[in-house]
Amino acid sequence: MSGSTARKILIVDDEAHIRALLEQTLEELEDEGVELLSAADGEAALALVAAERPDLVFLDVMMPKMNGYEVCRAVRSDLGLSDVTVVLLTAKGQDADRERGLAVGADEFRTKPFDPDELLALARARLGVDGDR
Amino acid sequence: MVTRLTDALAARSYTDDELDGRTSKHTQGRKGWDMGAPAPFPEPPASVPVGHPVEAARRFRRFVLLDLFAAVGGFLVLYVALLLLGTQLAWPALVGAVLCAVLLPWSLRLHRSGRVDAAVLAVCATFWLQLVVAPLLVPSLFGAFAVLTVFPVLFAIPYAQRRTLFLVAVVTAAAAVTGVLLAMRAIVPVVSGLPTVLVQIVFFSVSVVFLALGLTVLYAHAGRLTEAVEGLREANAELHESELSLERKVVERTAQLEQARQETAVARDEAVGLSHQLAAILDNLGEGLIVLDPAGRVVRVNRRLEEMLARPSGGLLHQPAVLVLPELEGIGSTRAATREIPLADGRLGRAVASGIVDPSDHVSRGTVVLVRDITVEREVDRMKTDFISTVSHELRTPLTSILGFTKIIAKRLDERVFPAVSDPDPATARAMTQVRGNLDIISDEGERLTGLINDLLDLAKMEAGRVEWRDEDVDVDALLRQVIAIVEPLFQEKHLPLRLELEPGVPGLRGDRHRLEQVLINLLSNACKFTEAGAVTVTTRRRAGDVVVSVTDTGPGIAEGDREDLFVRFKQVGDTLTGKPQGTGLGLPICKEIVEHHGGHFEVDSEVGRGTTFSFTLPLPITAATEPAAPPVVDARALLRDLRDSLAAQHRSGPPLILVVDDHEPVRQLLRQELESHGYAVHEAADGHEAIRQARTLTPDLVTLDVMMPDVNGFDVAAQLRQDPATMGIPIMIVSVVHDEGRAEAVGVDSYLTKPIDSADLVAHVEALLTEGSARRQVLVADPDPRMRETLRDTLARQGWAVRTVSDLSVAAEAARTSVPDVLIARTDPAEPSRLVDDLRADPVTHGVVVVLFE
Repeated sequence: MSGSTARKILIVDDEAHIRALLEQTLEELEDEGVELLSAADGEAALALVAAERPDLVFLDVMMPKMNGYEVCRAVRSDLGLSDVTVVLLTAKGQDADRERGLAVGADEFRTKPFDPDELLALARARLGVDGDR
Repeated sequence: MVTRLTDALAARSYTDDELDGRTSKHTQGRKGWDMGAPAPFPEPPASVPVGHPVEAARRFRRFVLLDLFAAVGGFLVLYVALLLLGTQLAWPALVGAVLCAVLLPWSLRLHRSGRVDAAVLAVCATFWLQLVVAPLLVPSLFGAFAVLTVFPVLFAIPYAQRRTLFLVAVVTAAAAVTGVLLAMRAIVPVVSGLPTVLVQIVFFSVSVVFLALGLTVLYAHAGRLTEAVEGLREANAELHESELSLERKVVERTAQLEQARQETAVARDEAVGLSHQLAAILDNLGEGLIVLDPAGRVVRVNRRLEEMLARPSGGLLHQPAVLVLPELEGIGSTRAATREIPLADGRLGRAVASGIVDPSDHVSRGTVVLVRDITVEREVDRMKTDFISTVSHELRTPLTSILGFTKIIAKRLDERVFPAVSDPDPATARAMTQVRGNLDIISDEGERLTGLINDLLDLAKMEAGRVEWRDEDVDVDALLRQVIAIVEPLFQEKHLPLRLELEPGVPGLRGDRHRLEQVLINLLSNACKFTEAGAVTVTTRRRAGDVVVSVTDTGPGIAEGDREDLFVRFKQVGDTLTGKPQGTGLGLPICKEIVEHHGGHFEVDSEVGRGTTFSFTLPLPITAATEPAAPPVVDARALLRDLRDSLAAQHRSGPPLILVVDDHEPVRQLLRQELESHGYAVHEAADGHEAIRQARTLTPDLVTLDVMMPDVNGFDVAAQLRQDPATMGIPIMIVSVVHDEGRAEAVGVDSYLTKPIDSADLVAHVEALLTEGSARRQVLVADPDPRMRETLRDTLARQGWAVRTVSDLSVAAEAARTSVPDVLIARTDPAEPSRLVDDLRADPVTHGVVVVLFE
């Protein structure tokens, strides 16, 4: 996987509250050397992915300008980044949405509302950081 | 004269009297029938039969005319002769002639006026005149005239009544005696020598005795004749009566026939009318109608359906339904099914099929399919679903913040804030407890709201028909065991026993396994929720063509009035003010939708204070319901021996090597630990590409695959391994949270494990795939009989074979090409030689596969 020691997580959501929630959810990872980045729309997110090469992206689906599927597809095909773990977060949560998400190359699919602890555990697992250890 | 008499006798017995009466009766009778019966009365024949009254009257007249001629002529001849001989006594002859000339026409007149007896007497009088006058004038001619004594009686017999006849006989006798007395004047001189008085006495006595004797004999004979004549007359009357009754019967029967004909015509008209009416009803039905025969051919459609499909009238008849509407394939195999079918002009229809099943033998007589145009409905539903989807999205977003922050606040309080508050005063301590409790309430209510939104979306999608229903084989027993494994923790928490009573031999059915699972989980968690003591029992049983699944609890029960509300959205049973509402109120409505989609229905049986039984039915495939399941017969041992003999063993040295593929490091660690502790060598791969590369270079004995991996998912990895000759023989075991055995089977996966992983289960699966420390043998079983397939699978798997099964012989070659088994076991129909072996031998990939065929 990524050999870099500076792990980065990118948080993408057009809702400031949700970004704040995700940041607070994941903030304890900062103590373990993980850097948290955030973006409020798809285009900014894609620019950040290209520039910062995060290890993990929490990506909202419904966003203005560029939706989460488009961002994910662009990350996989345009940037050619297969080692970035993309977790789609959506408030729609239908089977078809999940399939579409997996089709554009997302690794995980989580519906809102999510359990902060679960997302934290997911991030730990994906980054290979074990908080209990 | 004798001839005439016989004629008269032969003229039967009809008098004019009778004739008239008869005629009038006949006429009356005919009038009577005319009124009642419209049928024409058959005309009497034109020729008059012998014995007919008209003929008898003519004979009487003819006889009288003859008598007139003879008697008057005779008297006149006698008178002339006596005058010529110079006899003084000649005038009585002239008187006789005149009297006869008067009497006979008078007799005819009497006869015509119907006074037959008087007429007869008048005729007889002419004979009596001759009997008296002739001996008076010429005594020596008495002998010749004596013969006249028989004529009156003989003549009278056919016509006269019995009394008249008697009178005729008496008067004839008197006339004859008078004639004898008169004739005696001439006899005296003939016997001379004897005293005249004596001779006269002897002659008179002998004459009278002979006359009396003759007349008695004649009268007696006449009596018999009269009787015979009367008998004839009666017989004739009867005959006539029977003719009449026959005619009447003919008329009646004709009338009946006519009536029946008219009734039949009416009934036919009605039937034709009804048939037209029915056709009109069917044609004007708002829904399209197709009726299929058991072979699946179209036997009837209505105009609406032809319009829906834009087909010419009658163009669909006798065609196989699947050619007309491919979506209808298999629709006749269950008793009720729903399909969506495309209509003309891009419209959408919903076809609801019901089997026409004879209740006596459960044999399908065909299928009725009703097709409804749901384009507009679907559009409305789509808008509704979109709306609900949007609303749910808009609700979920703030809920995400509320729930998320609540949980973070609770966590921060627990981890940072509360520990920092050392030794709080009582008010602060109470506030801290309250705050913590309130946060839990916000959390719980938020979760409930989320559940409600999920259910609402689910139900809206179901009602809009936008749920993608799977159509897969469902084993009810396996389904129940799976569900029980899921809900068991709930029951353990409440220390509530959960019992399972399954009827053996319930056949598999077609349906959506996950949705049915959802129904069972809902029913079981409800039962658990409402039951404080006792037990919850799950039963299956077969009833008619259904399997009935029941969940019985020993909870509070549901009052009868509340039962209808159970399946109504948001209607929660019980007093929601005092009782705490539980659940979203949408669980059972969703269950109902699911069960009804499968063609079943819900039943609720409950007794307040005793418990409740929720049952739902699922229709079994018709074929399975009709024929009792025969236990599959296969000599598995012989089969296995054959397989062993057929194969050269390929031993491999060293511990079996297992390649563990998972993008998730902890999972790989877990699997490695488990497998290594059982003596296997383990290699790891973190993604699909690496997995494929390692599988090629290492040729492991087994690959475990995660499904959800970046770039290449597990199914694609499996498919690639199967396509590569170097790796196609490696057994593949999927270890994943994704549950899609159908897809796994399609790409040639040998075994399937669902996360979370049970270590004992894992090892058992691995051992099954790697038996006896040797490379496993892969066997492909092709058998259309699912029970036989299962039997073979179980038997072979126990013997360490990796078993793949296909149901259809026609796809066996294709399956063999993708998975390249060591052995292919196929059941072939001797009547239908398969090209399977030829196909396998022709393909370089499969030409080495050992094929075992059995019948």
